[in-house]
Amino acid sequence: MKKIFIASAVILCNTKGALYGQAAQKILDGVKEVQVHNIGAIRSAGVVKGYFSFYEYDKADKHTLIYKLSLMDENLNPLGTKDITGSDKKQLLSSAYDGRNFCFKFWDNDENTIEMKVFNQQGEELASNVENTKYEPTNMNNFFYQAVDPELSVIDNGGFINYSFYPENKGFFVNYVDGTTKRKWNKAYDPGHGYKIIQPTFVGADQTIILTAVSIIGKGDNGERGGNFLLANDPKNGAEVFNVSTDGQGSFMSPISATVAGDKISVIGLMYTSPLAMTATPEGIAFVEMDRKGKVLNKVARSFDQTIGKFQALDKFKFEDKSFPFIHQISQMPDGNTVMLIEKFKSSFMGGLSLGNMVVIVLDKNYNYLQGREIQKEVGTASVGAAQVGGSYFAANNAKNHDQLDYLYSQYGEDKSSVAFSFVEREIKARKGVYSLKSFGQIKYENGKITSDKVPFKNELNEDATATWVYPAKTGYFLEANYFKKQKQLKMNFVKLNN
Amino acid sequence: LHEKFLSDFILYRFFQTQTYAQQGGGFNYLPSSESGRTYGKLTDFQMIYCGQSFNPNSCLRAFVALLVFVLLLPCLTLAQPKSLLKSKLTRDIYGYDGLDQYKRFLDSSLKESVRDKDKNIRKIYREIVSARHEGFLEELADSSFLFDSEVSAYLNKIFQHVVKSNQLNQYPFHFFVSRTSLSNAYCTEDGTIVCNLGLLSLLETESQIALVFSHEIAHYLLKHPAQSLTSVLEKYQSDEFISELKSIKREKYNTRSKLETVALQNAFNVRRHNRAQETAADSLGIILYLKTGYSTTSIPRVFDLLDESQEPAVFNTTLRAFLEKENIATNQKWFEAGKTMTFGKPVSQEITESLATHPDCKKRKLYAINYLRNTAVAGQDFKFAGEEMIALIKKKALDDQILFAQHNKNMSLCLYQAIQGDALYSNDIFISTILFGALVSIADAQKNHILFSVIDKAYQTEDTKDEYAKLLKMLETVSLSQIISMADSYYQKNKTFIMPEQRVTSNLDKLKQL
Repeated sequence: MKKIFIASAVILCNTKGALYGQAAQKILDGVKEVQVHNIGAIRSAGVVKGYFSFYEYDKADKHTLIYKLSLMDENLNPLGTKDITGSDKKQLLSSAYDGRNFCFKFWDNDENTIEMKVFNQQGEELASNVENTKYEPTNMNNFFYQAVDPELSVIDNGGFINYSFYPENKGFFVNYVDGTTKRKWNKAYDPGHGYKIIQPTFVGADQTIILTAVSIIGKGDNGERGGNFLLANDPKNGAEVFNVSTDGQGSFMSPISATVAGDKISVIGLMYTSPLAMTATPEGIAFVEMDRKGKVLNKVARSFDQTIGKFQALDKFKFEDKSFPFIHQISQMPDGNTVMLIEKFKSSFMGGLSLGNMVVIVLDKNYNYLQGREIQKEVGTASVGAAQVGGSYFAANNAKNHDQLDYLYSQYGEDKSSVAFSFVEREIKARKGVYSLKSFGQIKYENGKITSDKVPFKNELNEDATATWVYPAKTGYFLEANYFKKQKQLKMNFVKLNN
Repeated sequence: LHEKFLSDFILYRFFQTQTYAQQGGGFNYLPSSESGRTYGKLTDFQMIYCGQSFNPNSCLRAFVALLVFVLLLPCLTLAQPKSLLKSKLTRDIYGYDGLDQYKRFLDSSLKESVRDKDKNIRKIYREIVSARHEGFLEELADSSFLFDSEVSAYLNKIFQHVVKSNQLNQYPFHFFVSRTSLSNAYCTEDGTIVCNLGLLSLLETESQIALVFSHEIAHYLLKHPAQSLTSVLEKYQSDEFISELKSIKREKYNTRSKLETVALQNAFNVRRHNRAQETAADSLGIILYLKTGYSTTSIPRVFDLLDESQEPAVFNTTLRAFLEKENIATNQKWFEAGKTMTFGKPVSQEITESLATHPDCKKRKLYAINYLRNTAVAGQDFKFAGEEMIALIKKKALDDQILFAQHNKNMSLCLYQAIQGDALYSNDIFISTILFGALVSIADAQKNHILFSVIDKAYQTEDTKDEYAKLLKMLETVSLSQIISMADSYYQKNKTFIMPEQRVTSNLDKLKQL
C-alpha cells in the first residue's frame, strides 16, 4: 500500500449535493504537515462514483488519533468529511458505493483487524463488520501465497463483500456487511486439507447470491487435491448455497466472471489442461451456464487457437514473438458479443517479466472470433521475482495482484453498453535506467467498435512533478495526480480521452 | 458634510430598525418627517475625469503645461523610439494612459493610510495593500479594463454625475470599468471604484447603475474597505487572540479542532461585520442617490435584479433551443443532471447565513421601500442616453465581455455568452464569428487532451436550470467527433455571417484538420 504525504489544509466542505458541477483540478496544499494514509476511487460495479482521502488530523489522546475521511464525488466536488478515531496504525484500504451507502475497509496493524464500516449519505454509521485476522499485507509469505484483491466488491443496492485470510493458512473468510438491512457475517471457507496456494475471487452477485471463484493448488507436485470451484453464499446469512467444482476430466476451468439473470448463472473462465490453475498456461476460455443450485446446464469451450489464434497465429499458446497472452478481462456486452483484453508478456532474462502490446479480441454470440486489434505500446517490465519460483504465469498473476502489469483497470459505461480498458505505457529514462510513465492509454469497445486513445503524460501541468499517479475516473476520463515536493502540493487533474 | 450625512444615516438606520420590528412583532411605523436632509454647498470643487483627478486651483498651471506639451509634441514624437511610437499609435481601448500617475497615487495613498494605523499592524497592512495594488496594476496593464469612448465613457459620465450631484469632488476617486462578466461593482480604500461590464447586462436603467455607484461611493465615505482590513489585522495582532493561540499550542491533544473552531468563529465575526457594512452602505447610498435627480421608482427593482443574479439561471435562450435552431443533433444524456450523492449532514441554514457577506436582498429591498415612502422623488431613469442608446451600449458591453472571455482563454464562458448573445442579436457577424471560433478552439483543445485548459475547471450549482452548467456538462460529455460535427454544422449554416478574415480562415483550416 502506497503511503503518500499530502495536504493538511482544513477544507470546509460544502455538503450540499451539487446536481451540476465539476472541479477539473483539485489542489491540496501544505504537504507533509499531515500524513495522508490513503487516497483512492470509490467504485460501484466497475463505475467510478467518487474519491476518498483518509488522513491524520489530530491527536485525541496518547494512543488515539483522529482521522479525517473526506469524500469527493466523481467530479472532485467535496461531498463531506467524517472524523474517525483509531490507532496510529490505521489504514483505509478500499472504499465502495452500493447505490445507497458507502463502505470503507480499514486495516489496523496494531489490532490485526479488518473492519468494514458502512455509512449512509448523511454520514451516519449504519453497520460495522470487524474481523480479527493474521493477514499481514507486508508478510512475504502472504505476498505470494495469500493473494486477495484489496478492493471491496459490491452487490448493487445490496451490500459489500470482502475476502480475508483464515488464520494459520486454513482457507479464507467471505466478509459481508449491508448498511440498510444491518446484516453482517463472516463465513469461513476451509478446504479441509493442506494446500500451497488458495485464491478467492469475487466473480458476480445479485440480491440473493454471492459467487466466488476458488482456485486451490494442492500440496503434491502435481497439485493433488487442488482444483477450481464456484462457491455460492446467501447474502442474508452467509449460508453456502453451493460449492461446485468447475473442473472436468482432464480439463480445468478457473472462473473469472459471472452474471446472474433470472434462474440462470453464466460463468466465464479460463481453461487449463493442468490442475495448477494459477501457475499453468491457460489454453482457452469456457462459457458455462448453471442453474441457481450450481447444476451445469450448458458448456461451451473455445481454445486460444480458435479465438486469439484467428487474429494472430499461436504456437503452443505463445504468439510469434514468444510472448504469452495474459487475459485481464472477459466481458459479455449487451449486444451479445464477448470482449477479451489481453496483455502480451514473457519472462525476461533478469528474472522479471517483459510486458508487450495490448490485444482486444471480440467474439460473437456463439463465441466465435469476430474481430481483433493490437494496440502498440512500449515494452515495460515487472519485477516480481517469482518467475523462477512458479513459472511465467505465476509471476504474471502475482504481478497483476501487485499492480505491476501495464494494464490498470477496466471500466463499464453507466448503462454497461461500453467497456474501457486502461493501461500505462512506460519508457526508460536514458540516464537513470529507471522506468517512468510515458503515456496513458485506453481501449474502448462500444456498439461493435474498438477505439483507442493515448495521452502523453508529460505536459505543462506536470513538467516539474516529483511523482505522478493515475486514478480511474468517470467514463471517458482519467485522473492524473501530480505531487510537487518543492511546492508541497498535490494537484489532481481530469484528462478527457478522445475515444 | 459628514454631519449632514450622519443625520440622514441615523434616520435611515432607524427605518431599518423599524422594519426589523415590523417583521418580528407586527409593529407598524410610518415616518412623519423628512427633516435634516439638505446638504450645504461645497466650495472645495474638484473635477474628476477619466480616472485622473485635477484640482481646479491648479487648472491654470495644468493648462500652461498642456500648451507647452502641445508645442513640443513634434519634437517629442521625433525623439521617441519607433517601437514606442508604434505602441502609441496602435494603443487600443484596453490600455490605460495614466498607469504611472495612478501607481504614484496608490503609493502615496498607501503611505498616508499606513500612518494612521497602529504600529503593530503597519507592516502587514502595507504588505497586504501593496500586494493588492500590484495585482490591480497588473490587471490594468493586462487589458482587463475598458477605456473606450462609448461604454466606459458612458459609465464614467454616470459616476461623475453622482459625485458632482453630491459635491464630493474633493475625494480622490478613480473610476474603472472592468471587462469581467460578473454582475458586480466594488471599491477600495484609496477611492478606486470598479464597475464590471456584467452589471450592464443585469441592470435595466441608467438610474439603477447610478444607485450601484452611490452604494460603492458610500462604502468609501464610510471608510469600509480600510476598516475591514484594519479590524481583522487588529484582531489577529491583539494580545487576547495571540494568547488564545498560544494556549491551544501548549495543549497536546485536539489542537487542530480547537484551532478550526477559532478560525470558524473569526470567519463568522468578519462576515457579520461585512453584512453590517453593506447595510450601512445601502443607507448612505440611497441618500447620495436622492441628490442625483434620478427617479426613485426603479430602486426596489435593483434588489430584485441582484437577487436574480445570485441564481445564475438568468438566460436568453436554452442550450437545447440554440442547438435545435442550428440543426445540431442532440442527445438527452448531454443535458441530464448527475445523480446527487452526499456524505454528511448538509450545512445548516444558520451557518450558511452566518457566512454570507451580503444581507439578504429581500430585506434590503424592504428597507429601501420603507425609507422611500416619504422620500421618493420623481426623476429620470435616463440622463445621458436614451433607451436606444443604452441598447447599443449594452450590445457593446456584451461584445467586450465575450472578447474578454476569449482573451482569458475561457472558451466555455466565451461560447456561453456568444450563445446568449446570439439569442438577442441573431445573425450578428461579431457573435457568429466568435461562436464558431470558440467551438473550433474547444474541439482543438479536446483533440490535444487539454480541454480543461480552455473550459471552466470548477463550476458548481444546485440550480437545475443553470444553462451554463448544462453547457459545461455537454462539453464534458460530447466526443471529439461530436464537437467537430457541431462546429461544422454551425459553420455551414452561418458561413455568410462569419467574418472572412485570416483569423477565421485559420479556424476553418483548423476544423478541417481536426
